[in-house]
Amino acid sequence: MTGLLRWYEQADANNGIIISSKVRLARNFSKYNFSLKLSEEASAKMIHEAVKELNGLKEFASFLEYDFKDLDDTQKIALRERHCISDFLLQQKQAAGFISPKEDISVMLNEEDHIRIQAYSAGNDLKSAYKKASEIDDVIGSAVHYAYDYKYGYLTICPSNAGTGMRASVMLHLPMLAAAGGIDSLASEVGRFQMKLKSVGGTGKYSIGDMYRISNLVTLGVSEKQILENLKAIAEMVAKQEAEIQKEYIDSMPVRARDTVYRAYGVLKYARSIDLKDALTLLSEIRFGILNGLVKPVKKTAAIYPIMIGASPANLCLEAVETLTEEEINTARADFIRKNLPEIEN
Amino acid sequence: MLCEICGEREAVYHFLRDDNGTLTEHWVCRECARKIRPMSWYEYMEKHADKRDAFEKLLTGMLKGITEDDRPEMHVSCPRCGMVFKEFVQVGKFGCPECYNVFGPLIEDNMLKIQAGTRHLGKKYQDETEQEEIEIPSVVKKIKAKGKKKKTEEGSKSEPLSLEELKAQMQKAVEAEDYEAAARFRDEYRLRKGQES
Ligand SMILES: [Zn+2]
Ligand SMILES: [Zn+2]
Repeated sequence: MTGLLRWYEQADANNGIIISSKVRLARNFSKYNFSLKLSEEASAKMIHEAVKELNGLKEFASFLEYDFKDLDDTQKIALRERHCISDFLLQQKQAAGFISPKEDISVMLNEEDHIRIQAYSAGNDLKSAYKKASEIDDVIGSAVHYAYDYKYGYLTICPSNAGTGMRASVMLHLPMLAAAGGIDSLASEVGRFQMKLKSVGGTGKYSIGDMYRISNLVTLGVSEKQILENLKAIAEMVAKQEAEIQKEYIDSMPVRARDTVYRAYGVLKYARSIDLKDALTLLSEIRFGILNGLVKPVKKTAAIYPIMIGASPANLCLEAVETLTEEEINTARADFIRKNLPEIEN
Repeated sequence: MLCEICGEREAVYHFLRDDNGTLTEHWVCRECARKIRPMSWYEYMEKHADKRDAFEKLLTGMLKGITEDDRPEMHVSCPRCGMVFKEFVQVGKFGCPECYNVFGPLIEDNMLKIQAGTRHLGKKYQDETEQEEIEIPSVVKKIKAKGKKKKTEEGSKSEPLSLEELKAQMQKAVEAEDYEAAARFRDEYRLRKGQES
C-alpha cells in the first residue's frame, strides 16, 4: 500500500501491555432494508450509492478505495490479517470500502450492517480512536441518511448493537496471565462488568501469541462516554494485573526468564521453516522480553507486533506469484521473521 | 483455599485442564501455576464453544421460550419488510428500520436483560427532532385500522391506564392487527415509562 507508518508500526503501539484501542460504529441507510431482507441486487445498489457519495467527499480523498470485485482471496485475507476488514466482510460476496493511508480508519460497506466504521489508535487511547470514528461518522451521516430513532438510537440489524451502535475494544498482550491460567477467571471477572474477553485469532485456528481483546457488550441505555470510560478502567486493571505477574515472575526466576527470551530469539534467528503457532508463541516471548528489559534491542524503535501481523499466512502470500503450499508458507515465514527480527545486544 | 499442588500457599489461580478428554478444575498458587502448563485460552474457548457467543444468543434464546407458546404476537409482521415476529425470534435480527417500531414493544423486557436500558443515551443524529415529531402512518396500517377506531378511542378516553394495563392494551391491539392503536399505546407506554424513571 503506502510507505507511511501504519498505526501498528508506530513505536507507541509497542510500549505496553495495551497494544491498541479500537472503536467500531454500526450504521444503516434509512431507505434500504437491513441485509437480512435486502436482495443481492439491492445490496449492489446500496454499495454503489454509498461508494458514489463517499467518493465525492474531500475527507476520503486520500483513502484507499476497494471493491471485492477487484480483489483476489489472498488480498482480502491479507486485509483481514491487518485488521482492515472484519471476518464478516471477508465472507461477503459483494462488498466495498475505504481505508485510510495509515490503515487506522476503515469504512466497510455491506457488512452485517450497511456501514461499519472502525478506527484504531495505538496503545491505550480509546478517546482518540472514538474521535476518529465519530468524525468520519459525522461526514458520512451528512452525505447519506441513516436509520435512526429517538428512542432506539442508531438502528442496527441486531438489537444487541442498537443505541450507540458502538463496539469499543482494547487489545492486550497477556503472556503471563495466559501462562498462569488466569485468563479463565479474568474472562468471568470482565463479564461481570458486561464486557467480553476474547482471544485474537489470526486465522481463527490459533490465538495470536497471547493477544486478547476486551470489548463492551451493552450499547443501548448508556452513552459512548460511559462505555469508553468503563472499558478503559477495566483494561487498565487487567494490564496492571499482567504487569504484576510479569514482575513477580522475573523477580523470582530471573535466569529462566532471560533464558526463555534468548532461546526464542535464537530459534527465530536461525529457523528455516516455522509454522504460525510456533512463530507467534516465540514472538510473544520476545516481545515480553523487550518490554521487561530482559533483552535490549539495538534500536529503540524495535517493534514485534508488526512482525506478528506480517507473519500471518495471507500477508506472506501477497508478494508471491502463485499460491503457496503450507510448507512454502512456513519457509516464507521463517525468512520474513529472520529479515525483520530486531537486532539485540548480546 | 490452599494450593492443590504444594498445599502450602494460598491458591490464587483457578483454571480448567483437559485430562484425557475430561475437563478438570484446579486451584493452585502462583508459583505452582508456572510449573504446569494449563490449558490455553484458545483451547478453553474451543471446549466452551457453545458459551462463546452466549451474549449474542441470549436474546434469541430468551425469546425462543416464547415461540413454544405460539402466542398471537408471533404472527405480527412488519409492513415494510414483511418480517414476521416468529422469524425474528429465531434469528435475533431485524429486517428493516421499521421493525424496531413494530417489534420493539414486544421485546422491551428482553432488551432490558441484554442492554443497560431501552432508551438511547448516546450521540444524537442530525435531524432527531424532525424524526421525533413526524410520524407518517403507512397506508396499510390506515386501512387495517379502519372500522376498529371506536374501540381504541374508548380506551384512550378512560382513566389513565397503568403501565401494565397499557402493555396489555398494546398486546390486544396487536392481536387485533390494529397497529395504529398499538403504536399509540406503545408511545404512551414509552412516554410514561420515561417519566417514571
Ligand atoms: Zn502451590
Ligand atoms: Zn421490517
